[in-house]
Amino acid sequence: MLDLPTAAKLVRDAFRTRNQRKMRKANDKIMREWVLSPSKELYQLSVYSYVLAKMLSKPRFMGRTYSGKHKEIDSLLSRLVSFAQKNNQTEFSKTLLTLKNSIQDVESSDARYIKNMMEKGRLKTAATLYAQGISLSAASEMTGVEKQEIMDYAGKTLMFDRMGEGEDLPKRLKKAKKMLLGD
Amino acid sequence: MKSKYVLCDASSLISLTSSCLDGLLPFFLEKFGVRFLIPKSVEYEAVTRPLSFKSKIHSFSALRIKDLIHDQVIEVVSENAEEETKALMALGNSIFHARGRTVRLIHMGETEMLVLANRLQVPSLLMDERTTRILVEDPISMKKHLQKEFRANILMNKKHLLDFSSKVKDLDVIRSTELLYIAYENGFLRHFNDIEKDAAEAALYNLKYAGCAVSFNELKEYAKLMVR
Repeated sequence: MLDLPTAAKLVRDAFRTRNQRKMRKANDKIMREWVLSPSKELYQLSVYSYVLAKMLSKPRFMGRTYSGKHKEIDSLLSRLVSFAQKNNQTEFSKTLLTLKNSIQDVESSDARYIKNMMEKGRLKTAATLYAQGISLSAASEMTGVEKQEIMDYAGKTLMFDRMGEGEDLPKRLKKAKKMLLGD
Repeated sequence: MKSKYVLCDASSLISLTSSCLDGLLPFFLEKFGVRFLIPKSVEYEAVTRPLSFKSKIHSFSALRIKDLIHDQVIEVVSENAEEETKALMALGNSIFHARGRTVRLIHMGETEMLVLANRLQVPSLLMDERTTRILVEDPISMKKHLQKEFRANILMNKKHLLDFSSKVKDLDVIRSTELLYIAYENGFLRHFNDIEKDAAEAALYNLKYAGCAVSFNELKEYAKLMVR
């Protein structure tokens, strides 16, 4: 079981060391925990850890120009850990919001896509849930991402190749013919 | 011609319209008398809500579905099954357990389809979503999948599984790829003449890329079944 302070610590340590791999692992752990114990805070940490991993992977966001922003994010992550340890939910939520704005500031200075990193993070989180086995509607509701977007993303992945296919195709076609043609 | 009924969920309408293959629905209605039904919740999800987005990102798909409703190719049914849906959802969401906690897999959206199919006595479901279909058809493979994904031992409440399965045992789920394949066999793509088979194969891939839960292996199987 991964509690909130530990989850926040994972994100803080990964960002502090500017370690993208570590951040990805943190994201995986938080996601798995969130599915079993859904909470708004874990969901946000899950999305932000994904976005921070993306940021760490892009040299254009890791240059000197952004060093002030990086320090700000470091400090916010440390505060998150501290508020989580003190079980101060109000301050934790406020800090999460400030963190979100800081992350968005980094990208908005060099925006290149219609969908920003935060939206992509939410979409990726929703698609991962669906890939893990959570239904499409549940994934959509838990993340606030439209089903159509999740399907569009899922269709371009191998998630449907990573699981049993249910009934075999000849049986399914026979059933479909009976259903549609009355054969 | 005797009417046949198929209950559609939002996922199938989304992949059909996203791949511009919604013409399959009038094809089956006109040629084989298949009537496609959706509950009000699906209409809201696939038409009303996307049309309210400022970005207009899903507007065209929504308008295509709206048009099919207007032309009575798709019929909206008013049926309130909230209580039954909640009960079946609770059952479905108490089958699997990981690390001492319940894995909540299904949601009102898909569960409502299962309940309505029983209540309306329309055992034919068109559903491109994966989780609910697998839960209906092959829950053991869902257990294996969850074990792999959560890297944990997944415990299964057999009683709840049997109860759930008994409530959905009469339902048959097909995907839009099956719809397309049968339409192809019955001339839907004949206007492509000598590239008809290629068009059918490409259209199947289009459905996959639009989110229909079909594997690449299955697409290869479809291709083998096609007669040039």
